[in-house]
Amino acid sequence: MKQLIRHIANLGLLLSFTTLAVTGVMSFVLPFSITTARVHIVFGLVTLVLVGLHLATRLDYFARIAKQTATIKAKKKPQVPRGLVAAIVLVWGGLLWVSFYGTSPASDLIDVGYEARHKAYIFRASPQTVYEQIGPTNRIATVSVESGELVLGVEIEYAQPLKAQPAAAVWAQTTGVPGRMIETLYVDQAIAYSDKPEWNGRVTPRHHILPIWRHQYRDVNGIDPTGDTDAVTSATPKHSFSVEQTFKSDSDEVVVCLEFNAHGDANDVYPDKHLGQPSVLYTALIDLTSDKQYYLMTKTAHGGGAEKDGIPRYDFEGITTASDLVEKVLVKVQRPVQQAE
Amino acid sequence: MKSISRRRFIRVMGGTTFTFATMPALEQALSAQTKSKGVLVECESFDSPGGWKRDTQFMHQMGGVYLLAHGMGTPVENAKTTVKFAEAGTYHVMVRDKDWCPGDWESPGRFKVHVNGKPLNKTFGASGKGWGWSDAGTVEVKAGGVAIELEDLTGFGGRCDAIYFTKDKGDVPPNESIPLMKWKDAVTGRGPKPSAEHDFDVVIVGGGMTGCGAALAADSQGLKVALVQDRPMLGGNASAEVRVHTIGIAGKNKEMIGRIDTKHYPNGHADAIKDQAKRDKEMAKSNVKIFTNQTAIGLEMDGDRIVSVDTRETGSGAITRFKAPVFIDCTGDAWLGQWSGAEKRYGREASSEFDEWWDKFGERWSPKTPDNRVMGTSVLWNSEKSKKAEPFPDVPWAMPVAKNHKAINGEWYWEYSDNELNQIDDAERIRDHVWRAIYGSFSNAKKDPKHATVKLKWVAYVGGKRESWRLMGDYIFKQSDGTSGEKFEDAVVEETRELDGHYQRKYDGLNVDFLSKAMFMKTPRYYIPFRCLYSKNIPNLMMAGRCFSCSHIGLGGPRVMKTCAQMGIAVGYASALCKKYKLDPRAVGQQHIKELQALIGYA
Repeated sequence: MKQLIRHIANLGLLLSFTTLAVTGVMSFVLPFSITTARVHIVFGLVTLVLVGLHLATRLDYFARIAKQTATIKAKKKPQVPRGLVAAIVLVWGGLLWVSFYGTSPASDLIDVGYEARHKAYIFRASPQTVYEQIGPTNRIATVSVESGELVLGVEIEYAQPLKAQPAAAVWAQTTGVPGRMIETLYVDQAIAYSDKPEWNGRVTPRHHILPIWRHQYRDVNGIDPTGDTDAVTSATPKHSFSVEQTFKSDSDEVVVCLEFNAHGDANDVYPDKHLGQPSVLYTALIDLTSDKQYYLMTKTAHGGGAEKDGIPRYDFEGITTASDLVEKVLVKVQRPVQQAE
Repeated sequence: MKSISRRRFIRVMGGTTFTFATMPALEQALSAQTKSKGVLVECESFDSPGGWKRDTQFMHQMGGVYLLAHGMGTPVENAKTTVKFAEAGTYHVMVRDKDWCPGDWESPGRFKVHVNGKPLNKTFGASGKGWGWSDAGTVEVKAGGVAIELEDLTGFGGRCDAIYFTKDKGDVPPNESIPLMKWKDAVTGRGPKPSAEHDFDVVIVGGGMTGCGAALAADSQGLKVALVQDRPMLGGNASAEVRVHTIGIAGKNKEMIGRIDTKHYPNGHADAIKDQAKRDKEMAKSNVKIFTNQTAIGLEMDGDRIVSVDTRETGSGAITRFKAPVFIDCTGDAWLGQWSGAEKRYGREASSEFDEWWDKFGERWSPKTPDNRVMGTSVLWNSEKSKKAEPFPDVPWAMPVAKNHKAINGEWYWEYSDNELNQIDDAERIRDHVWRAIYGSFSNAKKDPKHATVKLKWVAYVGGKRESWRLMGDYIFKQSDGTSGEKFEDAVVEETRELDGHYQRKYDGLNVDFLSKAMFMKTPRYYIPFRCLYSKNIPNLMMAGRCFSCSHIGLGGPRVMKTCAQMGIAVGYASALCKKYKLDPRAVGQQHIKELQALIGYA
């Protein structure tokens, strides 16, 4: 039995650890992929079990090391050198410290990883951001950012149950046409980490999926969809939405935008089976000085032909099902209750 | 025939009347003008106005007819003309312009003047002050034709009255409206004498719904009728320039009013153009002699009777004289009544005077002491959607009025009035104030991306007035006449519409001052007596429309255009009886009221 466990542990560890190592390297050097992450997590768990099995077969060894403590006390020569044990513990502790606090060489290592090299392209939502799909039919999706008593939420109610959620981005921008992005609130995970993500099985430039958002995002990350640095705009180093910042805007008003794009909704005018019809933009003007809590978003424009310039297109001719995908979009603004002075 | 010594010629310029005992004295006064050394170019006489509008509304206040760059934010096409210079040489150039919205911003009505294709250095419309002559430096000019152009820089109401070229730097034209008009007449050589005189059975001044109704009725009785209108088209507030739909009832004259009224389109709608065409066609079918583009500038009195009315052609400035035994004032602003000395009223009476208090609205309805508040002037406007983003310029100059108000369309309640403002003397300021409200509110609305494709379609530049002077007759129509429904023995007009008065919503605490609210007091069918339609003290003057004899509250119901047209029809028929019996209107009312009522349709 013990021999059988050993074989399982050895061979299993060989395979699972190899898988873990490969997916770990992939996570390090490639854009975030939910598939890679899923494989890595599953095999991490498998490896954990196998290591447990392996350690179970080595209980004698640990028992001997435990006994060794007694021999040290008896001033007998230990089987495992004391210095080696101490060195192993020190190295472990040191690595834990540098990786926890992000100091060199851990930081140097991280700097050569994909995340570090492509941080300008990556959108990472604020920890306060919550994305939910509600109901068995996924007809409603909500994105909300909470910060203390401040809540800014967007509730998207689709006209019909969806097999898959469209790619979507939610952001706040200044008023006027064109407005300037203040910050992005939410970007669909599938396209959040790369300008050329794999979207529904095909590498697709992000500015082909959500062209209006991606061009606006230049105001924040300072990089054109083509990869050129935009010298005009001043990029914001962090890419998480700051609800406080929005509410403390110099303006009395901000515009909340939602751009979404359903995969594969081709029609006669937009026959590309992968991209299908272009993205659709919904907007709502939010009065920051008002007590109004709910705003209905208005279908404003689409992204057809906006891949190069990001300029919203307002003529919906040729947009069919994409135009009717959403029943309504509601923006909820909840502010702290003002105390009377 | 009365003595010539009793004759008075009254010319009105700058809103002020000046009277001469005889016409030769007037000529003498004007011939004393200094002979001009220069060349005056009046903008209303440009060969091609391009996209500029000829604005005649404020001639009496500012001393001319000016060209207006009304592009709703898009610069309009250049206005062009060629002027003949007899002498070559160096000319000082002066441009009469107005910075219509001075403040801590770039002036909205900026424009350039080009002489022979070269722009003058100075930018006009940015003087920081009202109407005045701006010195534009000198130009070298050869004898012969000189090309002059106005180039609009903003599309936001640039305005130019005249350009004066003079070799003498000290030859500065007057700026006050009365001396200015006299000076213009002298410089252009057209002089103050009428270039034409006409005799009619009745002269109707004011070509709105009321004037048209009066003209059709008089014409139907075979009278020789003159209808004088200061705009290029008939219809007044119902015209394609103002675009208020006609409401009220047509009384006994559905057919006649139906020839000139409008459909019930949204106020400001382009369907007003179709109704304008209908009205023009119907009026052209009549025998009425229509004189459009003629602004009344004065009249001749013999004792207490009006002998003639003078008008000035808005393009050439030529003066025409209209004589008749009876005159009808359908001007709305009661011009004939004002000049002839007819008894008149402006503002709100004390509620106690005619017992017009209404608890529900208190002093918003009728004050305890008289004041100058009247219902305001509306400037209608609308927008349309295109299929692309439509940018709109920043309008910082509009924001002090618009504040944070947002709108993409207007309605009747875009109305401005103030106790401190006079609807006639301050009419240009009132129109401009509503423009600031419109452009600012539209700019605010354009901040919302959902309005990215919205662009201004039409903004009126002719204000739609509701109330100014009212002429007093033998009877004053008041609140109780509306609420009692009394059928007067000399009733000639009927209406079922509520008495409704307006007040500015700022009195309810609204943070903008250009929106109004209506108060509706229910009434049964009510009647207006003929005694409200002729002057109490000018025997041959009748009045109809919003200047009829009423209290401020009494005006609230009958002021709408179909009711006004009924009044016009009544006085039109009355003028026929004046001729038939050689009587003044009062005597017609006293002796032939049944016949008048029968003509109207009350038999």
